[in-house]
Amino acid sequence: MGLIPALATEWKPVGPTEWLLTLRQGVKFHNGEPFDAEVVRWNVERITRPGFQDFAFMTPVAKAEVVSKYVVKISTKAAYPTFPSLMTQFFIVPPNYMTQVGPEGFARKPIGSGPYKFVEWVKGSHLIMEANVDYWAGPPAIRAIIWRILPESSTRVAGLRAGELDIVPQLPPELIQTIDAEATLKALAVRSIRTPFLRFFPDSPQGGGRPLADRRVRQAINHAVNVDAIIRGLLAGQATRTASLMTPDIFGFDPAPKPYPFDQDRARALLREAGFPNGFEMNFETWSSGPAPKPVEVAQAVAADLEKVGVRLRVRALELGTALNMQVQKQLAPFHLWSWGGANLDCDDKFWGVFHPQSSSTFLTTPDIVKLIDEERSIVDARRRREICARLQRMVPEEALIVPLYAQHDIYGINTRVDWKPRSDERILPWEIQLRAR
Amino acid sequence: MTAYLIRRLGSTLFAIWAIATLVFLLVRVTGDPAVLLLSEQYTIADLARVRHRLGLDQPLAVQYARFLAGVPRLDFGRSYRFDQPARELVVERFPATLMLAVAALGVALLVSIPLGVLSAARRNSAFDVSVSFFSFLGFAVPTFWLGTMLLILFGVVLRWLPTSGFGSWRHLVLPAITLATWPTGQFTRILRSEMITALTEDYVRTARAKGLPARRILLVHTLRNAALTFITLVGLVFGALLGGAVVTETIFGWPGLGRLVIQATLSRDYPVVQTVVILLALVFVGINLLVDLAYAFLDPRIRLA
Repeated sequence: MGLIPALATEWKPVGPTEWLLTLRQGVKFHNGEPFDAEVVRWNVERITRPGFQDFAFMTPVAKAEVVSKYVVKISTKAAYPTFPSLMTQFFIVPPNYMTQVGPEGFARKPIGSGPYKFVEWVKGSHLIMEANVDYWAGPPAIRAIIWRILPESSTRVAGLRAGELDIVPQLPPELIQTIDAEATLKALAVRSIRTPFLRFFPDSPQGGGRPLADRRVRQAINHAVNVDAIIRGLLAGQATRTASLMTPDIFGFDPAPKPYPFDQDRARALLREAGFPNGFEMNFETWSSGPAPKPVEVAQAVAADLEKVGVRLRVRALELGTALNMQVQKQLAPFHLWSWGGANLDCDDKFWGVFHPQSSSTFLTTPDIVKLIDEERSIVDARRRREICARLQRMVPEEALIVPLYAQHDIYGINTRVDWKPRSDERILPWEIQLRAR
Repeated sequence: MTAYLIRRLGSTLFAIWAIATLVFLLVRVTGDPAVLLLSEQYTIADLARVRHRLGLDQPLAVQYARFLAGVPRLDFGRSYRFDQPARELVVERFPATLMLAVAALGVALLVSIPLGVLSAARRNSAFDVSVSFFSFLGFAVPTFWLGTMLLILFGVVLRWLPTSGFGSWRHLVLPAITLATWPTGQFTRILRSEMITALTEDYVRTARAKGLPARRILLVHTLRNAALTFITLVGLVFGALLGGAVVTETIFGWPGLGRLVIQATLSRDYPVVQTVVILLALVFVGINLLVDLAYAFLDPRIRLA
């Protein structure tokens, strides 16, 4: 995946904290307001006002200056190499309309410059949008899109089979055959950037984590879990094994590091070497349901594998909100299931998120790794960053800091009248959908 | 009478205060909403900022005082998730919930009253036995199973009705039937047993001895007396339908209060949970009042006392 120009047609760094953006000309918002550098500057000022950055999305951005009518310079607070990715999350609003209606009025009837215009939102039921015929790239293929909110997967499948729905996300893998059995329907799977993994926390206040401070014990556990069997048996083959948190869709991916081979004899030998010939016992936590598929079943499979090498897990399933609270308070068990998605398709996000002490998701790391992440964050040069990312991808398995599992596959059901390919970042972008001629 | 009203009002206010306090404390035991609002990538400093913004860094007593001060003005604070007054969110969802609950209650009453009365009148007949069987079935069948089966049958196989959604009366049929099944079974059973008890009373024998027609005895003398317990049950069930249609709402994608409160609980959106619970408490109080009035209407002894 790469970045595609939209409102910005070109971007380049001018020094470590400054970026020059060339803007598209002739763009208008849905209410007719024109788009230019002053609009971008106003929007940057809006999101950097105190109170706005509370929710941590745009915190790296500092200020913007108009260079000419269609060129704007944006500065970051510190060097921020993934700035272009960050800009994909920066949504430009029309200044006059926003000033006139205020944030609450805007939330009720948002106006943008994109290929679709807002029509109606009934919370908990549906959202309707219609094609913007004046869109700068030409009108989108589909005249109106109705987003339905259907939390129950069997209802979504029923709607698909009844011909009421065209694209249905988040299907459980066992429904693939049901969908494919119908002539007009098809199941599509795409490798997600979300990677479930098992996390070690030797210092867990629940106790029992001390053995995990020894690298050999962590390596033994990596050898003892039969990840391929989990993918085959529990996920109907719908996952791709990973050696770290990186997937091929992410900037900086290095195919060289390989996952630990499944080898329980080697695991027993390593445990003996580390001084645990009879194994040990500890708590293991998972979610009752959460962003990774079948968390409870996966936890039980892991426990059964580890039992065979003498590591006995007491499995406990937590409600997701409770687990997130326990994570920030560092109260989770010494060994637990977790997952990491990441917003910007960059190795920085994956490694900072799980191995940098500033992140609340970091439970075990090494000073060398932290130093490398800090270094990677301070440079903008892509080639240099790629090298560092490759080193990080070797170091994490060497130190056995986690048990990487797989990149899960997101499964969608579609009506074959629709021509659409699912994306690895869980988004459904309506302008990427076409209708097939019948 | 005035003393009674004052006492009654006092106990109602006390109940609402107690419920408000309880929900205030309970939601706070479930964990910190700030963690759930941030994206995956956040630092401890980000977390502190969000907690400050939501006022969660204030002492509990201060938060409680603010919350209580808002209740009489019907100001329940802003939703953490939607950044919109919690009251507005709840008011938006209430009509959908009310529509579904009224439809389900209507279906349940239309079916259960004739069935209950007739099976009591023909006690132990084949009709009575099959009514009992189906009312137990209605009472026992799990909502999620029934709902899914109905939507597959009528939505996918027969294509008579939409599988899910909200808008026209056609969208209402399947969820209303699904939600009505449990109360229908419940109502039929209670009405039947109440009728049977009433039919053994002396006044029924007297009425028969006077030579009144059986239909009049059944519908006027017996049903009116059996109705007291029945109405209490209807009131309670109606309250439960308003607050407890979560499963039906989830299956049919119905934008009601049940789903709002479940989502709010999972995302620790304290103001929304508090608002819904207080609203439902008020609704229960209102229903109880209506039930009491209905008693007085049906039973002259209560009216005259």
